[in-house]
Amino acid sequence: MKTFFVILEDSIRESIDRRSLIILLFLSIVAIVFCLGISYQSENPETLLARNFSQLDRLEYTRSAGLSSFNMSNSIGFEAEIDGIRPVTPEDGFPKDVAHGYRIDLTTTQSHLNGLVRGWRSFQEDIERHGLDDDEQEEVEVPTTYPPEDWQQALRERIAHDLFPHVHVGKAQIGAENEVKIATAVAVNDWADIPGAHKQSLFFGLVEQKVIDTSLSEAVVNMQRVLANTFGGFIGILIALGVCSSFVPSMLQKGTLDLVLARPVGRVPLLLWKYLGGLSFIFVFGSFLIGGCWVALGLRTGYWDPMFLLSVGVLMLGFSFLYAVSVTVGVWSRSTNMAFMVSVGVWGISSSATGLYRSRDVLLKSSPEWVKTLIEVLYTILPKITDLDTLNTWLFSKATLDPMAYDRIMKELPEVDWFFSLGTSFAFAAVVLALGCRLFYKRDY
Amino acid sequence: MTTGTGSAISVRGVSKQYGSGVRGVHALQPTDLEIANGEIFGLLGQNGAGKTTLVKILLDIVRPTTGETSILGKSSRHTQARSSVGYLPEDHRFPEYRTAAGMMDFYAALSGSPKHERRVRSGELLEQVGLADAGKKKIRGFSKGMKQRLGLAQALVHDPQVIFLDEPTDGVDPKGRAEIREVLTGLKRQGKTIFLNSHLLSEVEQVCDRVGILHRGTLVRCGATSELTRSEGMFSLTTQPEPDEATVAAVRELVVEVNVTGTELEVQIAREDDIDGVVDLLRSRGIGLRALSKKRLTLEQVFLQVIDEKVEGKS
Repeated sequence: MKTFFVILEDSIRESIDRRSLIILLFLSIVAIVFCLGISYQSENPETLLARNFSQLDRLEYTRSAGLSSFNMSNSIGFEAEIDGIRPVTPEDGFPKDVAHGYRIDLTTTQSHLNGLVRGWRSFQEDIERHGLDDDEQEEVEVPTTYPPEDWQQALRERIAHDLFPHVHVGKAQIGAENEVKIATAVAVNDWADIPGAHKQSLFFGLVEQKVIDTSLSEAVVNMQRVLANTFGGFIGILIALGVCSSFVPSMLQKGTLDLVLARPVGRVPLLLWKYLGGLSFIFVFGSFLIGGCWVALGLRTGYWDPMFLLSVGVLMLGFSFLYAVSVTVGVWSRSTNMAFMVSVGVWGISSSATGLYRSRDVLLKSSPEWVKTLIEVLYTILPKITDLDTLNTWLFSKATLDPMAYDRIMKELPEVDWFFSLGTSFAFAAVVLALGCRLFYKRDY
Repeated sequence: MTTGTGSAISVRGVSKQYGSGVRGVHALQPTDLEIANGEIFGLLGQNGAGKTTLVKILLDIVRPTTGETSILGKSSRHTQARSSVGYLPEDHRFPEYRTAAGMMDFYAALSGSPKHERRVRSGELLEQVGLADAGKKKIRGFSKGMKQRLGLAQALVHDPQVIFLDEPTDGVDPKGRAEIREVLTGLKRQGKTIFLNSHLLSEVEQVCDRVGILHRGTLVRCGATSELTRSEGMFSLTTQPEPDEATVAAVRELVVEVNVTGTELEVQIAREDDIDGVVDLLRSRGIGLRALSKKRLTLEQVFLQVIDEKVEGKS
C-alpha cells in the first residue's frame, strides 16, 4: 500500500508539473464561482398563479430514447379569464389538500372547455402512440361537446400535469351566453416545486433577473446535471484522459522504467497502482468540482442534496472504464497520443453504439442485418458511459424533485437495465486492464 | 526459488534472443558467471556486446531465453531479490519535475526505505557526490554530469548490498570521475558488491577486482584484473650506464625481442629463467642494474588483444 501512495504522489506531482491539474482545478473554480453567482427570488404568488393559469393552453412533452427523442408541443385552444386569486378560506369548503392553497376563479366558455377536453385527450393519446407512424394511427370519431364532469376532469388533469399536483376544480357554473365560471384551488405546499415560481439572476446580479420556466427544484437538478454530466462527465473526463494518458507512457520511457523496475515492486502491482493513480486524479478533480458546487448550490438555493456528491463516484466509474483502455494502449504503444486517442475513440464508439442500439427500432429500421448485429455486439461489449448520465439524473431527481416532476423527468430518460449496463462495463474494463497487465508483465524493456 | 547460495550475483546458462527465426538476434550466448560478495566486477565489451542485456536480465527488466540468475541467493524473478539492489542505468531519465532530494526520496521509498532513513541518507549521498547545494533544485536544470552524479546517489540511497552501475562516469568531468572512483572505493571498503559496466577501461582497471570481457554476446575472458593484465615473459630493466650497441646486440641473442630507450630495456623472453642470463650478461659488461620488474599490460591492451583475436578467429 505504501508503494501505491508513493506512485500516486508521483503521478500528482507529474500532473501538477504539467499544469493540467491546475487547469482542471481552475475550471472547477470557475464552475463553483458561477454557482455562487446564481440567485433565485420567489415570485409573488398572485403573479405566479396568474401567469401559470394563463398558460394552460400550452402543453409540452419530451421523451428521449437513445439518439432519438420525441418532442410534442400542443396548443389545445383553451382560454380563460382569471377573475380573482386569493388564499383559500374555510368558507370556500374546499378539500383538505388545498385548504392552505390559493383559490383561482376562472371565467371561460363552453366551447373552450369542450376544446380543452378534446385537446387534452388527444395530447394523451399522442403520448401513448408516439412511436407509431401517422398512417398507422386509427381514425377515431371525436365528439364536439362533453358533459361538465369531463370539463372538470380535463381541467384538473391539465393543471396537475406540469403545474400543481394538488388541485381542486369546482363545479362549472353555466351562465348566460355560453359563459362558464369555475372555481379552482391549488395547494402550494412547496414553492420550490412550482414551475415559474422563481426569478433567476446570474453572475452576482450582473445578468438581470428572469423568470425560469421550471420549478426551482428542477432548475437545481438541471444545474446538477450540467455540472456532473457535461462539465465533469464530459469536459472533465476528456481533460483527465488527456492528462492521465501520459502517466503510463512516460513511465515506460527508456531510462525511466529501468529505474522503477529495478526496485522491489512487481510489474502488475506497479501498473495497477498507476491505474489507481489516474483514478485518484479524477477523484481529486471530481471532489473539488462537485464538492465545491454542492456547497455553492446549497448556499444559493438551500438544496443540500447528498446524492449530488455521489456523482463523484459516477464520474470515477466512467473514467475507470475509459482509463483502462488508455493504460493498456499506453503499455502496448508507449505513446501518450495513441493512448488518449484510442480511449476517446472507444468512448465515442460506445456512446454511438448505445444511442443507436436504444433507438434501433426507429434509426436502424431499414439498415442491413449485419449493421444491426454490429451495433448489438458493440453495445454489448463496450462500456456504457452514457448510461452514467442517466444514473446521475436519476440520483439527483429522486433526491430533489417532487413526484410529479420526477415522473416527468424519468419519462424523458431511456430505460436502462443496470445489472447489464454496469456488469458489461465492469467486465470490459477488467478484461482490457488484464490484457494490459499481461502485456506489461511479459515484455522486455 | 533460490539459486547460487555462495555468491552475491549468480548467472547460470543465461542466454537471450530477441525475436525469433531468421530475424532473431542473439544478444547473449549461454553465459555462466559468479560474483562474490564484496567484489567489484567490471564487464567490458564493445557497443552491442550484450553488457546491458546481462544487467537487465539480472534485474528482471529483460527476461532470459534460457538459464537463471540470482542476487544474494534469490532468483532475479523474485521481486524481493531487488530490495538490496541499487542500479544506475546508462541513458537514465529522471523525473524532471522533481528536485534532486525529492527524486532520491521517491526511489528510496519505492525500495521500501523508512522515511527518516531516506532523509538522512539522501542528504549524506548528495553531499558525497558533490550535489549538496542542488538538493532543492529541479532536475530539469541539471547538467549531464550532475545528473550522472545524482544517478549514482539514487542507486545508493536505500543502502543496497549489490550495486549495478552502467557507465557511471559517462559525461562526468575528470574531477567528477575521480570523486566517483572514490565513492566506489568507499563502497568496496563497506563490503558492497559492485557490477560495473564501463567503456573507460583505465577506470575499470583501477577499481575492479575482476573483469569479464563480453564479445558479441559471449563472455570470452573472465578473471582477476591482475591476472588478465599480467604479461608472460615481458620484463622491464633500468640500467646504469646506458648499454652500448654491442651489449644490446648480445642481449638480443638471448631474448625473443628487446626494445631500448636510453637506460630502459624492455625484453620479451621465451622462458622465465632466461632473464638470469640477461642480468649476468649486463653485469659481465660492467653495466649495473637499478631496477627489474615484470611488465604488465594495460586493461585496454588486453581488451583490444582479445577483441582482435576474436575478430581474426572469425575471419
